[in-house]
Amino acid sequence: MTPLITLRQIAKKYQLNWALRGVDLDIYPGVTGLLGPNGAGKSSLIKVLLGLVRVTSGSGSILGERLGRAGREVRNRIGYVPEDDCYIPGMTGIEVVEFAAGLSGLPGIEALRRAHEILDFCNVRQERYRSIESYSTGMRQKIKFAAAIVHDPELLILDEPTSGLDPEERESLLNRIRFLAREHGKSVLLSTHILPDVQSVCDHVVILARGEIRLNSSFEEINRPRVPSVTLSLLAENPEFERLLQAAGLQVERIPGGEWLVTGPDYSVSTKVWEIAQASKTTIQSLKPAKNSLEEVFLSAVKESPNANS
Amino acid sequence: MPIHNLGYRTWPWKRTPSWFRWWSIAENGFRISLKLTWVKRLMFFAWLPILYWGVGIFFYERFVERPLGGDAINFQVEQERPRRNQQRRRPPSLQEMLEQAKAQSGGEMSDKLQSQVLADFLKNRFSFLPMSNNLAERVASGDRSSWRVTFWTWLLMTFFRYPQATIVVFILGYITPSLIARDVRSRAFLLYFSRPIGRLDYMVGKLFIPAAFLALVTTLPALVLYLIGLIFSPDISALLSTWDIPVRILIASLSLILPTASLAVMLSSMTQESRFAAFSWFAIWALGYGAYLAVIITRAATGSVDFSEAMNDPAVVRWAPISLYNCLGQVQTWIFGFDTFANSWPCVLTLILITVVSLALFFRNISKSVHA
Repeated sequence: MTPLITLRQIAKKYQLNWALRGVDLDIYPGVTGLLGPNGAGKSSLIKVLLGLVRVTSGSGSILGERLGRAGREVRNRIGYVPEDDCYIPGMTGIEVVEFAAGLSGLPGIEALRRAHEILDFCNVRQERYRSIESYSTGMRQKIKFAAAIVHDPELLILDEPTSGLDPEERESLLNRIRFLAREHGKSVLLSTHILPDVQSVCDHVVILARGEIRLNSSFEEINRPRVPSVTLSLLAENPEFERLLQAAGLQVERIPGGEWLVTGPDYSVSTKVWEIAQASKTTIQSLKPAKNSLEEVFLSAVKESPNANS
Repeated sequence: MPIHNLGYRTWPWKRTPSWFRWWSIAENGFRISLKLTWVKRLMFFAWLPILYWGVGIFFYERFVERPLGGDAINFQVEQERPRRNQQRRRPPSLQEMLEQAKAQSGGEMSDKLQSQVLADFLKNRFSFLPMSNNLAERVASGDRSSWRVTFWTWLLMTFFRYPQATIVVFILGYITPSLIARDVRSRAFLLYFSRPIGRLDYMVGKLFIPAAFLALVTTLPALVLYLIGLIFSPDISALLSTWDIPVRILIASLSLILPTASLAVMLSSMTQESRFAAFSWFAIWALGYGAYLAVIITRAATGSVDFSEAMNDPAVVRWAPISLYNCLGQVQTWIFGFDTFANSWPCVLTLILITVVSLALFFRNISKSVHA
């Protein structure tokens, strides 16, 4: 599969501060989560991708165009939801989306028609005729999202799109992102602090910290624990079962939800668990491979030394 | 709930050319500005002077051009005169001055003599009008056939120099300060520059907004005045003799629009607070005008001449570049043919410099804001 975005040794320096240092990154079609603490360089990376800033060094390509060249052409094919609450005072919601369509080259009346269509899709009803200054934060987020997709872009770059949304609206927005990705083949780069959002919609995760890529991996790989382990729950407590597991050289840890986390030296851990359960006459209610939590992965990636996982 | 929600659909159609994207910015900005109540009021006020200047053109065609060219109206004037003379003494009318001159020259009225009589008439009866001396001089130096052009251009020049130049200050001072400052403050830059819009598109689009308003209050009413003149003129020959006036109107409009719009948007791009931009804008005009006024007063005091003479003194006009208002006025005087380029080139140069420097700073400020 050809990557949508390829970055090689990208560095960006603002006066004395390095925002990005030697970023090597390939982003493939699909939904990619861009995670990182504040000041990690996410916004700088997005600006580099949009061609809004020149890189200090490095090269790359985006949607098949060389980075820094053909910026207009690239931006024609990108929809961007900025983190900032950017809007033009004095305009109504429909006017903002129509204006965004016009800026992206949709002609006159077609821009207006398309803006209505997209606002319907985003579930913005009669509020579209109200001045944007009177909107709640959540409503402005919806308008920004509508403005980003009005020109039917191939790649969506979403910077904190769910901030300020209530749970229901947040779920609706994530559903829209999923729908666009699955039904219309849109690629999405989702920059957010909200890890459940990433877990909910992304196939791939990039973690950025101090201007460096700390992790670039698919969710499948992230979920796989570093040491073989399973989580299980029992129908009834049996102290003998726990003793036998420990005697077999397995580590047993009780985790929230009444489940047990059993870690072994190799991938035969589940076989051993079944054997011990049979021997101790214990009924296992559920047994599944243990998964890493994204929080843990994120925290360890951010703390880790540079380039450890990139 | 939409009547027929189509969901999300792809949009595969042809887009407008990239060089035309500035139009979206211009159109949208113009629409937003036009929503403001005070803009509508200012536009209304800006069109009021056309009535006064329209009367001026009517007056010229009715009482200057026709009495000298047609007998019917001449006859009516002759009939009315004795009755008026009986009522009170008054300065001689143009007709009387012409008859007097005709009698003195032995019945022969050359073009030159007619022009001289009209110039004297203007000096005697209309000295209170701005720049009436320039008009009288032009009339005296030209022949009979050039009167219409001279009068119309003089009317249009004064139209540009006085009411419109003043209203322009207020319109731009109201519309422009927020144009860029608002985008910087609300981070709307990202709305523009994350799309296929370049800095030049943004500049052209934003510049177009004040330029369009200025054209609506200067170029358009001036062209309407010209049309009024054509309607009041007796025949098609007026069009042939005044063909250059629309060209002068366009050049005068450009000379007004380019430096003022560039300066105003540049000031707006310097700050996030539109009130600072508005304050700077009015300060530039007021301080410049005040300084120029001080030069005139000084000249009037030291040269023992009256105020109106001091205003037209070449030694004072040389100082016009210090005041944007007077600088524009001087350039327009030259464009409408009432002064020479030799007297006006410092002002022309000043306006060019203002335009170029303002645009360069505007570009730099946008670049800084985008990259911030």
